[in-house]
Amino acid sequence: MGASTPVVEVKNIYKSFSSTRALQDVSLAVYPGEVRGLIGENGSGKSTLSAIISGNLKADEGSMFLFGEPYAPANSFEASEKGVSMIVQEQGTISTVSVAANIFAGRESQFCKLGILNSKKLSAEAQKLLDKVGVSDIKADAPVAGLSFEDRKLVEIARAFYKLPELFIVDETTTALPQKGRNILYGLIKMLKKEGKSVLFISHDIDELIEVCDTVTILRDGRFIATLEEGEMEAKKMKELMVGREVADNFYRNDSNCTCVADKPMLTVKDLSCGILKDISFELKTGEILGLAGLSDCGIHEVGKAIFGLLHRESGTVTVGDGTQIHTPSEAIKKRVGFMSKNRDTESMLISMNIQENVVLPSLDHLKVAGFFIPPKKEKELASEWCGKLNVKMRDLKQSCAELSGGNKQKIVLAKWLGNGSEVFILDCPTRGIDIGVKEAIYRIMEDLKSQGKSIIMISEELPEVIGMSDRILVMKDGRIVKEFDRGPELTENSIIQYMI
Amino acid sequence: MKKLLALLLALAMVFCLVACGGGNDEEPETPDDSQGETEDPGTDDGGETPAGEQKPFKYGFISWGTADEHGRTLAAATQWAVEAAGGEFVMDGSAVSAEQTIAAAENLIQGGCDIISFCTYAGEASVPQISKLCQENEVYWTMWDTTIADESIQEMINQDPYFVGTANEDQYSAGYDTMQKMAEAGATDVIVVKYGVNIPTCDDRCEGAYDAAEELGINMLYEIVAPEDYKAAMQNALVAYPEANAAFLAGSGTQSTAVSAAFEEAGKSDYVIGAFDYFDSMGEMLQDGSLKVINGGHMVTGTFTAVMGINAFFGTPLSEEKYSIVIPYLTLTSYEDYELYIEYASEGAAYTSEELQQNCFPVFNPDVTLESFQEFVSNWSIEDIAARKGAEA
Amino acid sequence: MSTNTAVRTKKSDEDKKLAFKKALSTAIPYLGLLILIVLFQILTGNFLTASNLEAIFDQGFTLLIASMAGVFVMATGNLDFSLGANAGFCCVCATLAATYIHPIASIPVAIIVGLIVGMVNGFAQTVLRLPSFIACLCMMFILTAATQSLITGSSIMMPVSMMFWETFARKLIFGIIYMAVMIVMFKYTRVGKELKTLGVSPEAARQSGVNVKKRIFLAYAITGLAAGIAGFWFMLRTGGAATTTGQTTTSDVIIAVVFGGMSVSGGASSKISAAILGTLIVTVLNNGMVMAGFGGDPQQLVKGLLFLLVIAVSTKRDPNVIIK
Repeated sequence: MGASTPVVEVKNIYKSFSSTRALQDVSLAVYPGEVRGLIGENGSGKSTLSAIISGNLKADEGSMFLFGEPYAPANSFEASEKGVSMIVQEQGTISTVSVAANIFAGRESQFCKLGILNSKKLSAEAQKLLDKVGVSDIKADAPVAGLSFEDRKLVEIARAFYKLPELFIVDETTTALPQKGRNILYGLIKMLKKEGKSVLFISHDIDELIEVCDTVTILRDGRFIATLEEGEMEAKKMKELMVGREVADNFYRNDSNCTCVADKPMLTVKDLSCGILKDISFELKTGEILGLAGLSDCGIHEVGKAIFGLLHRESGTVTVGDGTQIHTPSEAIKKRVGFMSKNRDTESMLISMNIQENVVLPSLDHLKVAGFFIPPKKEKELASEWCGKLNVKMRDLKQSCAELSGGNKQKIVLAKWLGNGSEVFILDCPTRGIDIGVKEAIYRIMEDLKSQGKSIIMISEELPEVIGMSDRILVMKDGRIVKEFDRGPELTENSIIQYMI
Repeated sequence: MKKLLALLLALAMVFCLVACGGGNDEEPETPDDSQGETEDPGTDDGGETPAGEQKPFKYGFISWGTADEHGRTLAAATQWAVEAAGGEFVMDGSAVSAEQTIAAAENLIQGGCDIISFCTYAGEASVPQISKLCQENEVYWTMWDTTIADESIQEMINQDPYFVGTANEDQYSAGYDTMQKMAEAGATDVIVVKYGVNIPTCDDRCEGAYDAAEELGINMLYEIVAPEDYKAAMQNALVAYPEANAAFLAGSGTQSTAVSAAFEEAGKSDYVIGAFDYFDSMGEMLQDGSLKVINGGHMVTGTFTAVMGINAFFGTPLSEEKYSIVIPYLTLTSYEDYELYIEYASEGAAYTSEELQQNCFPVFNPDVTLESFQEFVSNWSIEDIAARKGAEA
Repeated sequence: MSTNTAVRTKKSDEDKKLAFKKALSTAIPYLGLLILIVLFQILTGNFLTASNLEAIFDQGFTLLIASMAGVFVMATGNLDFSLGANAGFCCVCATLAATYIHPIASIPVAIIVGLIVGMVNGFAQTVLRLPSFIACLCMMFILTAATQSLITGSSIMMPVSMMFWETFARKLIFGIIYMAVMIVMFKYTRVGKELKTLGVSPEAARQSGVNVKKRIFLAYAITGLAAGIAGFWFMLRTGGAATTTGQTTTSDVIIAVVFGGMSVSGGASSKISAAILGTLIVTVLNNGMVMAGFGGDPQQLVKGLLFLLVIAVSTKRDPNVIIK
């Protein structure tokens, strides 16, 4: 860094959506060869800012400059022609056509003669790009619909690298990418830096930012807070700047040793086989937090679903504390087991319904009067009690869940299972995409449950979280449990990763 | 805000429609020869209420709507009579099912109608209910295009002082005459096409046709009944009976095109088709000769049932007993006939107000009797229209 | 974990505005009804008479029965296309039972037949896994054919003695009891609440313990039962059964429920009040228009336009870009 003309500079940007102020007077500048991180909680405005820079949104007020010249792209296509391209977290490919078509979407005219497309040339050029980016095993002719989420992301990356971008924006893409994809991305970032290009890297993952970026800008509540230089980039400080207050040292748990309340097993899984799962067997003790770690497609997510009865089992049994077997979700719920899916908005809650309706749903039987009537008052009491205990930030119980932040949504799901008096909680990616502040709150809740003698199975792809919270960790690979670890101060990510891949 | 504005807009639309709708309602026409009282007890047959007079009234017409030609012309034809008698025409076109027919009757009566008319296409079981309703509200009523099959219903409505009567086509005669005309055009071997099973209208027409055929020595080769695909059914029939040179369609005239196509593809060119129920392309078919006889134009059942009801309301009923009027079809046998139909019956008014006043209503012409009225009705034909309008038949 | 009551964010101006908007959108059907009534009273002068109100009650009665049950199925995001045909078929069966067995037999026959049809629909969708659209449509064709084969001519009559069965008092009492049962079932029982969730997301419902198959089966059984009841009342009202009975009921129910403020795809916006309100609106509209002097073409036009409008206004558009 050091060149005086920034690649991109934004000055005094304001942006509102009806009554919500997303950005207030934000200014920053990214210099050539710089990898700038951008971090903030949900609602901090970081995605709005990147959307404005990449041409997907227009600011209400303020100005932007590209290499010192005024820069106001009409849309993202124009922005990418000027050298500013972005990849996002959600799916950005068109599933009905081929990889090559996606890569050159909007730019086909260079392959057209008299209106007829030379698809062979299109394909060849696309393949070149794919190779350049480092994913030669994806074939340009392949239909996108057949590719995995990760591969589709890589196609998007190849598209973004059609022309070497001056500013490459990565908006929370790594959260959903498994290791291979992430490595490719890191490699590209390094390459860009070497070429004197810049990167704006947005992520929730503080450790990742520290590793990948040269500098980091922190936003909070739509305002610019600070830009930290190399030496100042330190996890605790960043967290504090993000949240606006001091963050406790013990983010995960206070203790570093395993402390189970009792040995009695709350849940026993024996020889469970189901789809990719093969002969899964383990016990969950009273007051235990059992972590499940592995690559995203190794089966850890399926274990949760299979135990809860959502998948068709080929063989094996799941037994609860009192000895009875459970096969369906209703049986599981009657036996006080709760399940939180990793797909929050679509599976673990009914997003367009209100808070109260969501929280009381599994517990309706308990609220019955005279065998069928459910008094609204009782519903309100139940929902109010648990939302209060979990400190849910809401307007009132009748607020639609769609309006809640990610962290509060997770709290609602927990409230739901707590309201049913659950003893066993199966939590799949409980803190994915959630702010630091709320993440902490959820960890505290988990600890609290543990101290009450409740048991938790925690499925997560975030290794620090698994290591920090679990009493025991089961590592899975290719549908089987391959290793078990006990909680201890010497446990590191590396020791676990070895067994995962 | 947006939702409120949208709602207000919708209501504004409704308001506009109301305003327009109000304008289109028939303005009570003061007839040219403003007859007042007919104080002649001797001229009407069978000594009924001497003091019959023309007074303002609301006439309620119930049908399935005016989207199709038949529905549209029916409503229009009814209006001819209502206008001539100086009344207001109101319609409820939502009566598709039996319960909707009853609802329509209720609504029209609530809206202040003095006379209503309807048809039992949705089922005749609701007739007693309507009868009860009309009695309670002192509303006169008639039925068009209806013959009551159930005796108990017939008995019941005969007791109802507000039931005036019905107007129907003579299906048998129409079928008979059509077959005659087909014979004149050269038909010798006929395939009969029925559009439904156990439908009295259809069966009656065929009965007339069969009788005519017997007398004229025409061969009725085969009967197609309620086919899914008229063309295919006809083609099969032609394979079985290659000598066939004519087809009698007891209804669903629009299938004439399919039947004609079947004949053409079988290599025939001199075939005779006779059908019931007008359809869009009948003009062309009449012109090129693929269609020889077509019956329809019975929208005047609306006109004449209105006459019946209005007379009862005026206090000058044409009979003390319940009576039925027989109405002929408009039989078209040439393109010129078709043009006349379009001009005068479909688009214009086949009768002027004066013609109706003079021939239908004792309040305007004390010489009108049941017999004279029935005779007037029997004249309904394409030739009659031509004569009255001064055109060629 | 603290034991404080939930932290309520301050009610800002924006929140108040949002709450007002929400209240307004739920109030629209009520407002609409009120405006219609006022409008027609002004136009006709005798809209609000006892006899006209009784006419409205008579006309809306069967629609009310059908649409309250329709809400149960529509809440799950499905439609029962066979509803009208079922009502018509039950009407025929009831009439035949009244004629050949005994008038009183018409009641249980109508109800049982309707229930069986509903259960077959439910069975087709849960066990045979047929999509609801196809299953109900097929059932509709079967029932229509069955109805027509049972009726010779255009209609059959019920025994004359039954003409006096239908009284205002009886209908009112039945109506009130029926409404009470339906309202309680939909709003205050587990069944009703779980049905709503199916319209939002069957998978999410399943993960909260809802037995999806059982509930869908039940929803169709309920509409079948209601169709049977409606069929019985159709018989009393029209004096028997016609081939056209119930022909328009299916679409009438959908239109009524939409006018009443519920979305066709069910889910969170489902409310039982939509059935009541919607029936009132539709019946008032029909009655008022004819009374005010424009029945016929304007009737269909206005109904169609209003329907489009209601759908356009109530369809949720995607919110703006979500701030991260």
